[in-house]
Amino acid sequence: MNKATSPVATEQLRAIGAVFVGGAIGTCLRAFLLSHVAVHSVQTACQSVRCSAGPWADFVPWTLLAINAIGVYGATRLLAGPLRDRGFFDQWRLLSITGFFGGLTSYSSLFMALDVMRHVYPLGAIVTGLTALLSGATAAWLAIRSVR
Amino acid sequence: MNLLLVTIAGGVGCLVRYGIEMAVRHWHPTRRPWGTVGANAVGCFIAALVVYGLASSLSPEWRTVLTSGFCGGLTTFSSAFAVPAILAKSTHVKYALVIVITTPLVCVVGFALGAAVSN
Repeated sequence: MNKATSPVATEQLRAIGAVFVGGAIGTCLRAFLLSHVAVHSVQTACQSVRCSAGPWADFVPWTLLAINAIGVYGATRLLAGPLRDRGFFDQWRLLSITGFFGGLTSYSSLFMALDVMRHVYPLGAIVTGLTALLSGATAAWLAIRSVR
Repeated sequence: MNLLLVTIAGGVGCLVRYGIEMAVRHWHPTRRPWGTVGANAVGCFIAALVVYGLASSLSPEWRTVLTSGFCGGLTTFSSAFAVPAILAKSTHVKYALVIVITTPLVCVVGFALGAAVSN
């Protein structure tokens, strides 16, 4: 049998396809939410927070924080539930965890936002960074608890 | 058009992360997500390179494609918490804590290195 059409090669191609498709959909959703929700709904909703907390709240990446926390919850819930007994190379795990949730959530975007913030409000950047980590840990904990 | 390019770049970024995870697992078979930790650090390094080093030579559209698209797909926040949570659930609490704490630290180092190299 030709190597290019062997079962192993087919399996690898399917894995690559699953990661790419899942990652592309997740990235597209994040980019859409960041460019639309960030500008309109979230900033409007956070108007009261800004008034009470000061102008530094304008620099907080609210939408990204929410996307990351929701992504952690969804990925943990899947890994602890339906994908519990699936290995790393399982197609559904590659599509959803490595691909979709991997593309939806982002560490680099968080650091870029914190980098912009630290030039203006260094303490606010530290607080926001710690809040992001805390929200991720809390989301994972809630997801684990919800599956029990 | 820009959203399409960001989408494709995100898919490619995810593939690179998958490649790093495969390489780590091939080199050192493990259930621990050290490949993800490395991919996050590399992604933050490249993001800083683009922001500080290539900002003037790239159009805003291409900068978005590289940062939001490629680096966004290369790095992941969800796996950085979800996989350690599963490890902690199966009694590997220390490993989980080490990964959760190590990831932001290596990301800071990666981002600072990228900025330093650019300057």
